[in-house]
Amino acid sequence: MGLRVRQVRQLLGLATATALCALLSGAHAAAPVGPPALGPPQPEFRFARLAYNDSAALGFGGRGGFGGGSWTTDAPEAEQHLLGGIRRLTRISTLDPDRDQFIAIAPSDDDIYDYPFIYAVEVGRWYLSDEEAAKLRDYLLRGGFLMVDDFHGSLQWEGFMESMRRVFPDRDVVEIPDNHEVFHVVWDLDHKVQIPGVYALMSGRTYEQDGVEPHWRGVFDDHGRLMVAINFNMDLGDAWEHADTPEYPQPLTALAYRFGISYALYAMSH
Amino acid sequence: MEFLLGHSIWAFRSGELAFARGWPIWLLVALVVAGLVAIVVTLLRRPELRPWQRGILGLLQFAFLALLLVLLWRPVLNVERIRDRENVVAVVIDDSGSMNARTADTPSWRDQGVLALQGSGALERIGASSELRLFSFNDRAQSLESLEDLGGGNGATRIGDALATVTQMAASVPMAAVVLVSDGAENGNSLDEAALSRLAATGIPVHTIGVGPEQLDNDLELEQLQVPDSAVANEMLRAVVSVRHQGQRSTRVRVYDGDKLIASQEIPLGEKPGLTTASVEFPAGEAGMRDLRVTLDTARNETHDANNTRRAVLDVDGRPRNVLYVEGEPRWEYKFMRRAADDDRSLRVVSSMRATPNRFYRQGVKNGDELKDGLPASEAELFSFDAVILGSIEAAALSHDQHEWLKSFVDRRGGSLMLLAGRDGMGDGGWGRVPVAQILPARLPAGPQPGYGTRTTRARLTEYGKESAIGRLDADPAKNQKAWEGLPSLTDFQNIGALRPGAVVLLEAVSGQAEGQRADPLLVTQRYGRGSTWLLATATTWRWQMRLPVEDQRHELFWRQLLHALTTPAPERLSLMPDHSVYSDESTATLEAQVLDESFKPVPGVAVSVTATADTGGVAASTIEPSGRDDGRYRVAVQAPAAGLYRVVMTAKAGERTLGEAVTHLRREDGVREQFGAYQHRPMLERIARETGGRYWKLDDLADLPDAIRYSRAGMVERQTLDLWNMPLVFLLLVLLKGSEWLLRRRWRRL
Repeated sequence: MGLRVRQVRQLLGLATATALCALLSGAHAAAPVGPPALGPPQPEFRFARLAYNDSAALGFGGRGGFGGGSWTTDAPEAEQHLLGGIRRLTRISTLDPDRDQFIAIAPSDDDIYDYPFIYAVEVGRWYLSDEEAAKLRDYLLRGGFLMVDDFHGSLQWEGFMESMRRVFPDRDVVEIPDNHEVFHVVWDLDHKVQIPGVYALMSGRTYEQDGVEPHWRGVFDDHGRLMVAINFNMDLGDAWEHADTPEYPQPLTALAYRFGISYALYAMSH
Repeated sequence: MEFLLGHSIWAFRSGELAFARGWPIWLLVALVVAGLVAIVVTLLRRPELRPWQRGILGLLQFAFLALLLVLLWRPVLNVERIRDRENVVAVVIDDSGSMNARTADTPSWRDQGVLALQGSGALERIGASSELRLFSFNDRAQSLESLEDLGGGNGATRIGDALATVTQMAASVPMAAVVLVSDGAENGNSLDEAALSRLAATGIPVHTIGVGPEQLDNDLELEQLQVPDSAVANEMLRAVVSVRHQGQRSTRVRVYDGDKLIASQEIPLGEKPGLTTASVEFPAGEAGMRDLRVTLDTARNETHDANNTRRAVLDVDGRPRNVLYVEGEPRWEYKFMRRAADDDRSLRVVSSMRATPNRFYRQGVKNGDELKDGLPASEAELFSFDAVILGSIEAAALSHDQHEWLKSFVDRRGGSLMLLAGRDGMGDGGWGRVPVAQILPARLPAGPQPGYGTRTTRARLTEYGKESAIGRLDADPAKNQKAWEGLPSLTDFQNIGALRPGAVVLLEAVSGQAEGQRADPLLVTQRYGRGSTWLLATATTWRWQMRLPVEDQRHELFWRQLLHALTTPAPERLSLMPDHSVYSDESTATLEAQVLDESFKPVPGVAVSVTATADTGGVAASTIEPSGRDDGRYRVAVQAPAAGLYRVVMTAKAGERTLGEAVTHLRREDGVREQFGAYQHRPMLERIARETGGRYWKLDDLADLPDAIRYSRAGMVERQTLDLWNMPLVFLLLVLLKGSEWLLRRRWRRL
């Protein structure tokens, strides 16, 4: 009899333990799932460089992409300085230049649509495949904005246009009129001067190759909105990068900042 | 049956049973019990019978004895019946347009009713005992000399008014009953609950005789059409159609402006007969008046298609709706919202974006003075907008006055106020601690924890959202569902706090995976005062534009529809609205006018006049008196003497100064209303009879109607005591009971 009582007790204990485990596991399964974590807000304006391939036709060997190339020119100092200026002078929430890494995005990357403002430098040497050109066209027509900079002379213009014509075969590149809104968002940029690269400046000139005349050109969409801001025969990137170089004239840096900020504000409002 | 009972069956239905002898009832019960005991004792002493045989004999003996005892107490029926030749019975015949209906080789419904009354002899017998008074009615009742005077009218059906008119006679003559011959297709709004109660209170029974079929084969009917009375130019609108059908699988709805087809849509119908409601989208078009005609395609073998068309009049306002969008920092949401509204000429988005710490960048302003300092400088400037959107801008950026104006903007102006998510938006911007907080659809969090941040969510329509015009990215509900499911994710979210009781959630932000999925309010609204307030807990809908193909219009559609929902309900300072845009068989249109100043306050001492001009050339003018409540509202009744389209102009003057004018349109049509609901509405007729103590009668069942009326309790009545002991049925029962017992005893050889 004693044995039987012990067996019953053991069975009861086992059953209780099983029920408890089941309850606990059930409770775990039914536990309310908390809200997904709310992360810190993303900076609104994330300056992104277009990581294009260099053109082989112009003798640059087809290098580029994330292995390096012309697209990396002036990085990251140029954007670090510009972003500092944007943070200081505007209400735009940007990346922190002291903390955040600069962003590069390939023209074929789908994530390009998450960056409605992209910057392309030394575009006289860029090469866009048909697929990349189509994607860039799509990006711009959806509302993206492209600022190109630091290319000089007729040879590089042709290099730029060779890919640009594949982006927009049916749209003209035109001079941006002085009274265009992009030059009057915050400042009235009526007095426009050529912003030279630092090496040209050191050699006593403000231009490179045969690019004597600076041009502010653009490509517009069907509503007359500027999609591509083309800074030809200029080097705003150098002016940003060398903002802390004593030899680089401060008025030119200040003007380069104003152009960069105006493009950003225009891109965020039109 | 009446032969066996000795009296009319209606006497038994209306009378009360009693015993006339006056002996106590307990004695009757005691004798019955004693008799039962005696029968049981007697039968127990008959062992030669089997128990079941004794039971049957006992029952028969007991029934005989009990019946005999009851007869000794002299059962009687106390009845009230109308006194012969001293009462009036009103026969009221529906002479409205629908009663003209007929099938190929039968008389009209009206004639069927008259012939049944005459053919059954009911009319003659009622006339033999009461004075008959004949009436006909459509939109009003009139007396008839004889049934030959029935005109075959074309008016609406106002049963309630007709019965009220007829029963008013009871004040001067004793009225025993009303006989109503009708299809029950009341369409004059005269028979509501209150009217039925008043009718029942007269105590006069209304006997209803139903005519016409209870269902029309192969018929489609556009039972109801709902279209807005006014719209903004180029807006997309919805016509809600309710189609009554008899098993057709589908029908095509066409919307015409005059003779021009502007929309067409196939709508599925249920396989069983019933009512199906669907909506059809159509463009409001340019500014001006739209003379709308909505039709259903004729079904196969449908003979009656006059009920397939309804009309409406729509006033399209050419003035673009004004939206003020104030943004505290440059944001992509700002850019892409503006772009979405760019192509919509019915919207004017004026925006003010704080580009630098001290400078607002303005877009869409009329001139350099508008929003000079980035924010409205006066209440009147703010009130010139129909909706205000506040982005990521802290509440402290506005002055105390500007906060008060914002509250009045919603409450008094009737505008819409929407707050967007952002670092300085909603609770994070201190909007939970300012006067506007009280009128928002949620109690914004006011704690130190940031409510705005990064979270990947997906927008999902709620049930309210599915019904809302905002949520309609595709006209087809299934495709619309897919359109929402296919939207790219949002990457930010703001906690809006606890919802207020009147809040309506239109969109939810769904986050997490299947099992741990969580849904938070994303787009919420509530009415407040004359306007409404909104919260949108994201500022990354721009990703819908950047992440979808160029030709995809979902982002644009969402924002345009949202902006229209914000701006369209905002009232004008001067407005004129008819009760409804189409008056069927009605010669008087009622309109409400409103005259307010720039602050949307009533203007004292205003003279308001209204002129209605018909497209046929007739002009009617009226001067309106204010409501007397100092609310700037005026009501006026305008005569529309003939069918046609009317342009109604309201002019407001303060002294010699003209404050402005408002224009609206309305249509009067005749003979159309009766084409709808043209079948017998038996439930309505049964209800009238039930509420008044009468009865519903079919056409082939009228022979008993005179007897039913004879035992009415209305009019001049007399009490009668009818003996029941001498009913042939009683004698028959006694003989049957005793005869059965004798036969059984003989069969069982136990006599």
